[in-house]
Amino acid sequence: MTFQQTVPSYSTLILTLVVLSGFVVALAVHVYAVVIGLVRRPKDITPKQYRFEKTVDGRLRRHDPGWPIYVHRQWAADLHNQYAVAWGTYVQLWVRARKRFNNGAWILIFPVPVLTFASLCAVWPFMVALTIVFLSAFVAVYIVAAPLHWLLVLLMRIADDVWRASHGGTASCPDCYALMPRPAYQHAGCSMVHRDMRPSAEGAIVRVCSCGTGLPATGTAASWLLNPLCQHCGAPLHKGAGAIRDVRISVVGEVGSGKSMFTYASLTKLEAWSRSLGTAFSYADQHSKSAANVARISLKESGTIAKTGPALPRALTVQVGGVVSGALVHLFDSAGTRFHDVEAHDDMKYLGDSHGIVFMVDPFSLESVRAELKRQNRSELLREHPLKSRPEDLYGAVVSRMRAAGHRVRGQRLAVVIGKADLLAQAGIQLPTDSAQISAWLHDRGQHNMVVAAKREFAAVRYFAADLRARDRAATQFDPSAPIRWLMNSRRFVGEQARRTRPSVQQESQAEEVAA
Amino acid sequence: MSGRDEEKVNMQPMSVSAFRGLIIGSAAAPILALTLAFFGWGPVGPALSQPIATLTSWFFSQTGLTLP
Repeated sequence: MTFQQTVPSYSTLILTLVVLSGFVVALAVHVYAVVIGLVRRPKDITPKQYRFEKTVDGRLRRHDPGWPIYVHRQWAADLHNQYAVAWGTYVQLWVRARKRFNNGAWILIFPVPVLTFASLCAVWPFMVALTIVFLSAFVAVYIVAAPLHWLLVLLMRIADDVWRASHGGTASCPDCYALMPRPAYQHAGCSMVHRDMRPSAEGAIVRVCSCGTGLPATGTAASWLLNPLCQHCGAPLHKGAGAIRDVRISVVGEVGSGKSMFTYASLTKLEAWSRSLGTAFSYADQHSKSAANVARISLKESGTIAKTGPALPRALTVQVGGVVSGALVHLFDSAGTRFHDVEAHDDMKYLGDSHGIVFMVDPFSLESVRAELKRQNRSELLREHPLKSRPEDLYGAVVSRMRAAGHRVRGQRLAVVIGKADLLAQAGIQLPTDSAQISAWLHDRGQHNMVVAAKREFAAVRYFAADLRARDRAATQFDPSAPIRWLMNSRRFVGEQARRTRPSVQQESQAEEVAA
Repeated sequence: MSGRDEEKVNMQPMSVSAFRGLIIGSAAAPILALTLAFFGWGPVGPALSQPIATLTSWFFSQTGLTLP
């Protein structure tokens, strides 16, 4: 066989070796790209980068401090990094080969540079093929994982929203009185605040905080497991805020009409009522607990409690019931003096956002009652309870101020409470117990304007008489918690609690509903 | 751990590593299968050996090249 005859055979061998080396080099480059680009030095999308990333049009978009899920951001970063490393390495091979053989000595080792560049040329189609294979793997994972994730997000959001809608769906701040559909949540471990705790790109069921801790992704679960904060002022909210019913009740009335006494007495009786139902009752924060304790001690020692200061009140909050059917009841005890200050009134935002208003009537400010006491020569009672403005004057002022501030009145319930029923009883004046009779009692004693207007101006009005110093916790006549329970029922609370408890309580609740 | 903050890796969700493993596995599986098949091995080797042999002989007949 001549040399000319063997050339095709050796060419075939060389061609085969070049093609094989092309495959091996392309495979090695991709293995290197996987090790470097995905394992050793990946371009991680950290919460810090994700949180302050810019949108396409250059605007800053602020996300929560959580890790984005893989298919949302990291997938694209890994894809880019993988191919940047792979093709960057391939280009580097060309650059190095060119540097190595770019001198006059290459002629001495003639076949080596030719084989090197031929092999590099053979690498290219395998690089393209492996690129397509890896791209297919990335796309396949995305096509499966991304729709599954967003479907799960949709389902979890629906479940979360349905729960919140059926359990209140609003949280309120006891400090700044702001209402918000969703509070912010602070992770106690790292103090990071998550402002939009919903199933999202940070997770459908669990979101990973920037500190690496798994947190619940739904607001309902986060309300119990994390620390809810006000979205506006950052003040701590109560556990369960936004996940259970939020009942806001404002207590208004003239100076000395017994608003504070009523507030604490009603909470005491509400606790007794809850215990009788077998329902959980607790003060929702330390402030409320301390204030209730101080009031209880003061009542025990001196029979009265200190007058409310002129500052805006922080809500006294109690949780009645559990996680499923409970409610956070906020009582705002407004200082009577604020209703005489024209400017101060407008900052009582909680008045307009309340579900119900307790309007305290001091019976000693009714002229006919004072005349009766004079006839009985009860001057000590008259001195203890000096004449103030008439209740219907204050009622008019409260309603007109609320309207002027743009608050809704028509959607609220009004509980008109005649306090100090025990003192009147001592003087031989017996208050009726039925709402219609109390209404008529007030109507006959010069408060007809209030009685007539209230029926027209509020969604529902009911009249109560309250014994604010009742020693007997079980007493039901003049029960100061009755107005609160009636107002709580505006949020379908009492009825729902009763359905979960004894038949006798169910009947009582139904009777209350009918009466309302 | 070169060029990567170990603390950052510890804080990263486990799902990131799982997804990366899934992608690497998804890419490696067909490459490995095709490589083995080229030599007639693996689950798809027998099925692919005939088309590969046909393609190779066609290439040599068209170019006039022969193995030494």
